Amino acid sequence: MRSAGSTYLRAAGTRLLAGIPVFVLVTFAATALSDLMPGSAAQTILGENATLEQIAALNAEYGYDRPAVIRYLDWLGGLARGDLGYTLFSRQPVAELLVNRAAVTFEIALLAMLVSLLLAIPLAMVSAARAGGLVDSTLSAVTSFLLSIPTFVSVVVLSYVFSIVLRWLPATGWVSPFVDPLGNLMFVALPVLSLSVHQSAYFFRVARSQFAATLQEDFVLVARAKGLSTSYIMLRHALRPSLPQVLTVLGLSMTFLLGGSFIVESYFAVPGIGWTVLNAVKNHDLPVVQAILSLTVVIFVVVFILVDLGYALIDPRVQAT
Amino acid sequence: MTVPSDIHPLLAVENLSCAVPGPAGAMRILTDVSFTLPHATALGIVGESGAGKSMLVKTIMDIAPSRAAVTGAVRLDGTALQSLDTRTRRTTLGRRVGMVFQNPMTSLNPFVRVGRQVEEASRKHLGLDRRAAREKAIALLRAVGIPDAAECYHGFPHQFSGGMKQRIMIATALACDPELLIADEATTALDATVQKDILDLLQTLQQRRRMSMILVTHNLGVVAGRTDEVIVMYGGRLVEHAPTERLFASPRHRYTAALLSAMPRIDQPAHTRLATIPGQPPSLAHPEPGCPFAPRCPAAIDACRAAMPPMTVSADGRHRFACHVPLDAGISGDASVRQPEAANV
Repeated sequence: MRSAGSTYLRAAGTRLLAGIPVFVLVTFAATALSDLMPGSAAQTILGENATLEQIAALNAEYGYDRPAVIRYLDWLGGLARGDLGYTLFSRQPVAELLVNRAAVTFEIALLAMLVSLLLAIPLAMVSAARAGGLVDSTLSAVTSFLLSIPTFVSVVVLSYVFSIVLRWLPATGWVSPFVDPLGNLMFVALPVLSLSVHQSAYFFRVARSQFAATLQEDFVLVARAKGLSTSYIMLRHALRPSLPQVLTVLGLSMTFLLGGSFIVESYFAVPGIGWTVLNAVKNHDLPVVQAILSLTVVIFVVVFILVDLGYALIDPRVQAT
Repeated sequence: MTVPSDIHPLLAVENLSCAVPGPAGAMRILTDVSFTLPHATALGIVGESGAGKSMLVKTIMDIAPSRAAVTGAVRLDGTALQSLDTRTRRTTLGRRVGMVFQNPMTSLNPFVRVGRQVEEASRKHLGLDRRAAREKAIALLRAVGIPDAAECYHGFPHQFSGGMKQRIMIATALACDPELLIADEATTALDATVQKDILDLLQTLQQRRRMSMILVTHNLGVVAGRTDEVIVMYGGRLVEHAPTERLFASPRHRYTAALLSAMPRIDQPAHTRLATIPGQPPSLAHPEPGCPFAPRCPAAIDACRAAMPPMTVSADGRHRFACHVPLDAGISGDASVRQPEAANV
């Protein structure tokens, strides 16, 4: 019999291999698509008045006059050496930039995920335990209201309330947690809150309906016949069977949040992936766009692997293969 | 632990009624069911689908759906359960009454190890520590005929067959050494040979542990020889209640007689057509006045359709039935035996 650990490793390995074609397809498409974009990097760098000769010279310097396939292979070769090129304007190494920006987005995404789950799961349990009760109907109304607010509205409302009226939190900006941990938390508070409003309402609704479904199961009736308390039944019998469903939407949300929210990052001027890629696209900063797209693909593949392994961890009937 | 008293029966059900709101008005699932169950006695509850048998035991166990409106009283050893607060009532029932459900495939939580499912009630109600609860759980698993009880304790339900799962369920129901074990169609979902093993196990456990048992089933063959008394339900009502042998030998209610004649018999020639009861079970949403069986009863008279027959009690008080035109006590024993043959002609 193989040990559980090596089974999980093997399962993760096969899924990583399966992710390679996806990675190649998406990153190559990114290289090729840049030919179709209006304008060019050279045009942006040299400005409106550049001559055709100047543009051709710059394209030749950066190698943009070569076919997409060659440029792609060149990029792949660089990737293998850990070299993602330099940004077109500040001539900064892209790899370094990517790590810094991803750290910002990841911090916000993980905190938002944590806050949403800590809010949503307990409330969903309370709600489902008394389905149709006052708490349940109130929360259901509140969450459908929250879900219907677009992010570009909630960021405005939250920053108005917390930074303009109450003056508790800074409206925009960023400081590294290694420089000023407390200040960092103050700066991420509003972005995290903005993302959590929507996420927690979403998780609540999924978890609540799943808990309600689990409570209809025969084994819950059996647990009630054993004279076990409602809180014990919720925690020891209903929680775990309800988690796979929650995990599925958690994975989808995770890929979305880790990719960086353009609206939240731009509004609060947080230098994360979303904000960076938005600027890079505007400036035709191809090496940056390419790098962030590849990162996004990797995030998707890794998150889905983790979700798959999560199913096997939660449900004893599921084998990791 | 309460000392079993001789004054009170273990279980007394008094005028139990239960209605559930439905699309076409309230459904009267149970109407005026009363019976008592002495200590260390096995009772069978039979009836066809929708007769209210399952709802009866769920109502007794206080696990009927919360939308069900229940009236009447259930006394456990003299204590009216409705007079207790919810928590005490559930705890009392959980400790003193064990229940085995119909479908062992869905009654065990697939996410929880077998051991914990068997021992959780005893840890909560008897206050056993982890080690004592584990020893007890393993002993119970062994007692219900699981070969490798210690390994089963650490396993998950999906690793076991249906029959094994039902044995595990029985061990679970016995965790607190209950005085009453309720088996709600406990063998219906199992195949025939496993059914017999489980029924024999239940019977052995009931006798060895001197507990009372309620066997709910739609199959008269299940209660024969395994119970002391039988209750026949029809349309949410108790229509006949008698010592098992007496019920089989001389049923008084027409419905009981019809049920008995619909049983296959080993002394009949092969390929004999089984007797059936024509018609449909009564609508619970729009009950007609009178006996619920009247529309299907070959002997129904006008009185049957006009008024619900009162409960008649035999001279010795052991045989109760609700029928305007009961089968005769003297010769009905022969009649009920002859009847299937008559129906086959």
